[in-house]
Amino acid sequence: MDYQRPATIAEAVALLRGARPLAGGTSLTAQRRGVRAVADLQDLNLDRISQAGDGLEFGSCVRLQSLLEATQGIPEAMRVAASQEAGWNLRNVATLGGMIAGGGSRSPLLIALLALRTEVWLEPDGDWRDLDDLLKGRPGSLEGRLITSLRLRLPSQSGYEQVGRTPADWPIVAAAAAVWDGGMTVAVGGFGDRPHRLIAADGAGGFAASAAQAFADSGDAWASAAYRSAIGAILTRRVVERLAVR
Amino acid sequence: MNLTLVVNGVRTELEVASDSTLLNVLREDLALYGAKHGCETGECGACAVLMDGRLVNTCVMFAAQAHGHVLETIEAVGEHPEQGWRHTAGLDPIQNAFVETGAIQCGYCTPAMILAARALLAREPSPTDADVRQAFSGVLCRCTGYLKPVQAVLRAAAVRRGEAVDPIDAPIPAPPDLFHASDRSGPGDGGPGGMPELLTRTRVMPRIQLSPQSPPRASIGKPERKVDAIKLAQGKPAFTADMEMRGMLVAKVLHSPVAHARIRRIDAGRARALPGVAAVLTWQDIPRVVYSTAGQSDPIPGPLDMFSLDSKVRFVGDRVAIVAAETEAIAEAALQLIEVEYEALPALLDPRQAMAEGAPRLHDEPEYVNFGDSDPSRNLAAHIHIDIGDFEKGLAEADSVIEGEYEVPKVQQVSIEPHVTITYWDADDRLVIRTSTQVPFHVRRQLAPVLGLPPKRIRVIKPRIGGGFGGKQEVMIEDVPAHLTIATRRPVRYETTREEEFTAARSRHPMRVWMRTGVKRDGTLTAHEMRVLADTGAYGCHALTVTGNTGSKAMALYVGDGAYRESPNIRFHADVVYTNTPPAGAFRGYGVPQGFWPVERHMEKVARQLGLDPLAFRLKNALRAGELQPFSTAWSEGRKPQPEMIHTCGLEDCAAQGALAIDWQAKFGNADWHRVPGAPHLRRGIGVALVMQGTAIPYLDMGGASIKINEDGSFNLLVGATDLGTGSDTVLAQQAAEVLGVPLDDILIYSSDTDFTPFDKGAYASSTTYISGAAVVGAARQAAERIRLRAARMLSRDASGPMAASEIRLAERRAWTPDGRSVSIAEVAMNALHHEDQEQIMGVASYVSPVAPPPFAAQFAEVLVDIETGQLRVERLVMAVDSGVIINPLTASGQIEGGMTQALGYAVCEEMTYDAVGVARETDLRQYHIFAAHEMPELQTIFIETIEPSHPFGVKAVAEIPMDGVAPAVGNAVRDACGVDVDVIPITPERLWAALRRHEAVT
Repeated sequence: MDYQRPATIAEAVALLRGARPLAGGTSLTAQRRGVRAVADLQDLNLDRISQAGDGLEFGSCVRLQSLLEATQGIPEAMRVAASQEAGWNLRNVATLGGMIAGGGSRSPLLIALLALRTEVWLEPDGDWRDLDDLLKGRPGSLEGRLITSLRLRLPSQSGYEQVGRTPADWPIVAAAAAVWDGGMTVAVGGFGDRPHRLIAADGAGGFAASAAQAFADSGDAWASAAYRSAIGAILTRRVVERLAVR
Repeated sequence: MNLTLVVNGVRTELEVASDSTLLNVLREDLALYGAKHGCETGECGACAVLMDGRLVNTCVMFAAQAHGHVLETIEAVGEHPEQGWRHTAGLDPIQNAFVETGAIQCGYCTPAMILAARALLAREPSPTDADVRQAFSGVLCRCTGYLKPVQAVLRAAAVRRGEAVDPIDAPIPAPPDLFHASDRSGPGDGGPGGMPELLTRTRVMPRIQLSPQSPPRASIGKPERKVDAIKLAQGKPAFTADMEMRGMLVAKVLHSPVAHARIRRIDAGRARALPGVAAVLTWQDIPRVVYSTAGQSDPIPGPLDMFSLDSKVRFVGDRVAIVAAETEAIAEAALQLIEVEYEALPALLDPRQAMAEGAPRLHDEPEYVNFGDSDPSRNLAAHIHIDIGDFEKGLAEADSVIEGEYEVPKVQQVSIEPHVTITYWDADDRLVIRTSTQVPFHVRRQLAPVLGLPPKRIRVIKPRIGGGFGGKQEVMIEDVPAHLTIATRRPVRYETTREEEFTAARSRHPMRVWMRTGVKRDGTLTAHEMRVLADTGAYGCHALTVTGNTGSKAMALYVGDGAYRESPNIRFHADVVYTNTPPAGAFRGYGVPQGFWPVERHMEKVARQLGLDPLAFRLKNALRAGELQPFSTAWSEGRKPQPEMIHTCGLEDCAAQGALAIDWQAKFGNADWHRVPGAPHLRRGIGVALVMQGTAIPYLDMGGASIKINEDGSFNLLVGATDLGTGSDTVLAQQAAEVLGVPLDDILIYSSDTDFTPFDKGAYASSTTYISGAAVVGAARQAAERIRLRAARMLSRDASGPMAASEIRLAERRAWTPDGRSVSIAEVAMNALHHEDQEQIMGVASYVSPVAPPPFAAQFAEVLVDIETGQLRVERLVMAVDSGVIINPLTASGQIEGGMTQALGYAVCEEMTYDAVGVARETDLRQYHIFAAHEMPELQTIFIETIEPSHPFGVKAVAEIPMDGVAPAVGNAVRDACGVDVDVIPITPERLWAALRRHEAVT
């Protein structure tokens, strides 16, 4: 395996023709026998969190633990989900970019990021992409491209709810929501290959119905579709009502 | 590639493969063995070190990523305070706190925990309990239940802040007086001994209700530091894999991708031709010797149905070929080059189909050796039928007959150290097997024929073990490197991956259980029946004995009342069948947790159906002291049964003290308590289960010990007993220290080396403190008698007359006369070894017990149920245990805390499942979730001391019983919370939700 540590984004992008981007490495190392080359992103200064207008911008190499230690007013859904994502040691290494590239449907943080209407900057040919579109197109949407930043508009409120086997387990069913100027976005996860953003609906009942629909074909080895559909609706209703009350 | 690292303050230049993980470089290139291998996906955290002050997992990081960074490993933290003439600062306060508080059991995760604590305290000098648990959130521990490690960090923080901390060996807190129950404080509260108030109290000691007959002791009953704690706190290279040998090869196994097939063709030619491959072995290359991997005394009470390599595979994960190569990468590449053609056979995945007409037959090999009623033509690995009394008559006498069906899952032991073995030829061409095993002597005996060597040409060494829990009571992998060492003449290391632990190691037998109970209106049991269908997987290791325990322990607890107490009516029937799934085997509790889930769920249903108080109903029917263990009259693992009397039973006090601690009276049946203000979807519940276990296997399992004196009055104690992290070396040494009147520091214990230590059956059946302890006491008494004889002679010279040895008392490192004169034991040693009638003062003893005195316990649980989603949260576990005399309250309570935690996983989240073609769903520690520090309920341990007459110090077992009661107590608490019965564990959210919906539909 060839290992390179590019000093600039341009160098990194150039390397991606044959190399896999290496951020924290928590997923990539386990697949290392099949990897021919990696481009380690640690020297690209992509680990900053900054205010950007009415939102926040995150370098793609921001570590999950940084979300819990940041002073910039990280949305609650993002903090709770980051904490739920992994233990301290992994949070100290795993990155936002890595989550977007490799996170699955049971990733609490990915569910929260989807609810927060996160946008992702890809190089080359700089481009803000909606996270939902990006996830739907994986892995092709990331082929030869480098995630450098994420941005989101700060919601007035956000929240995350899940059901798992234990408090720290990954979710079997989860829902996250965020509110801006009276509008709300809800995302659900726990099944399939990625979380899903719900179609906008009226009130808690509308979102709950939408969640039930989203889980209609969600049966797998971890839960039946009937269970997920019922619980997805309940969690969605709860998180939406909780934010509405505030 | 070239790498520059700053490791522990030293700048280091290295040339490594660019795909090397940091863990491999630390261990193999830098010989820093404190970072441990526990998984390959970063979930267990045993590999963690500090990089630039942050805790990171080295198994999921390329070494190249650390280039230019500053690393700190456990090797940089503290050192042993005694280094001869060289002054040292000693251990770090965190290490000291871990040692003092009993926070270290197997010690495999300890370096990562200590480094996590260093990173935490560097940022937050005054952490809360929750802060510490977050710091540990990525370091999984399977031994401790996290309580003591968390307390250790809080204590260390206080020390670093310069605050006073309470001594760990303060008087043991007693539970509240049952008749004046005003004391409701938690464990460790208050200031025993009139100590001043402290800012930080270290809450690691259990409460103990001492027996009034308990004599004062010097070492027994004291919270002594574990004898191996200092080295484990420093991450010393004490484990099997912590060594390198020149020319050592790495072994890998090719596993079957199919559940059932004949190997039609296998060609290893391309693999053998790969540069760096030293050997590839298939079934065609080694002798075909049938054996059992179950590590048990001779004769093994189970069928011989396995081969090192076979021409047939019986589960996804079964062995197909084994490889030895210069590196792990080459070995893995070689596996890909082995060409195999499988002739698929129908797979049997459902145990209910196993004995059906036309079911696929797993074992048609002519070499198969039956044991008992095993019948491979019916896929039957074991069959048990036990009738005690007259079950049908008892049933006819009942006012009600209540039936139920229950199910328990296949679960994995998940020792954080995987299975690992290193083999090599020594200078005498004897095969040395250095292995992480619970049964070194069984390894030697059972592998000898498989390898074509007599036992005398094999030496088995057991270093420290990173947890076993029964999974290493299996001669499971030692043959792999041994065959390869024979083939290559070179040292070979084989270490399983976490995935292999799930797909190719052992597990707990899953069972379906049917219960039928006859009961009178007043709650007297008249007849009690259990029928079991157990799934042993592809091989019959432990099939008979595990399932025998399911009945003989769990069904022994309730005998009935009145006349039924004299003559209980109990029936137990079990079929243990083969399926094309990974083999089950030994797992802490050994069949008993499988039994107590149905028994205690069923007892709850019976009590509620009759409108009886569940606790009183249980106690009315439970076994008592002075009664026969009912199964002892009918069952002894395939040998002749010998009736055993129960001499000690503290069950009623366990129930009373546990109830008091959890405030049972105020909560049970209190509708207000069950509801959560402001959360209409939540319900609280409280539940109880009574349990019993056994202590050792009577008339069979033997332990030996030898002891000799040294010139300074210290003693070398050699035992075959196998400390797998439980602290057995410590409690054995404490027993020797008590007899010899010396502090624990003067007992130098060495365990488990088949060349040097006496025989011991190994660490299983909760037997070590009891069986091996009795052997230690016997050996120590012999040595003590020689010391007394010599001391009497030495002290008679300046006395008025001859002194009898029987008058000499050993205490405080001296031999004392009744009138207060004394000679030191060191002087006695010098006299014996150098000065007069020279002799080696020593003792050798062994012990086999005629009884298996059961420990008893009352397990309580408090839960919170979300009645809309089925989400269950266990908030509190209280266990009151009668384990006889407690030798070491720290290690014993550590067993209970860790056991309850493991059992909590059995209750709510652990489960191994397979798809329609037998492929495992759970292959890592993300999918197979074990409890982490930051999601634990509150744990509390209470000991009810009884003095078991069959042991010199009155001990009974402690290790396994905490596995038995948590699941049913949680299940009963769920019933209490929301009125529904979940009869299958784990109680997943969906199972509970489905039960709630069924209940809703009915009501």
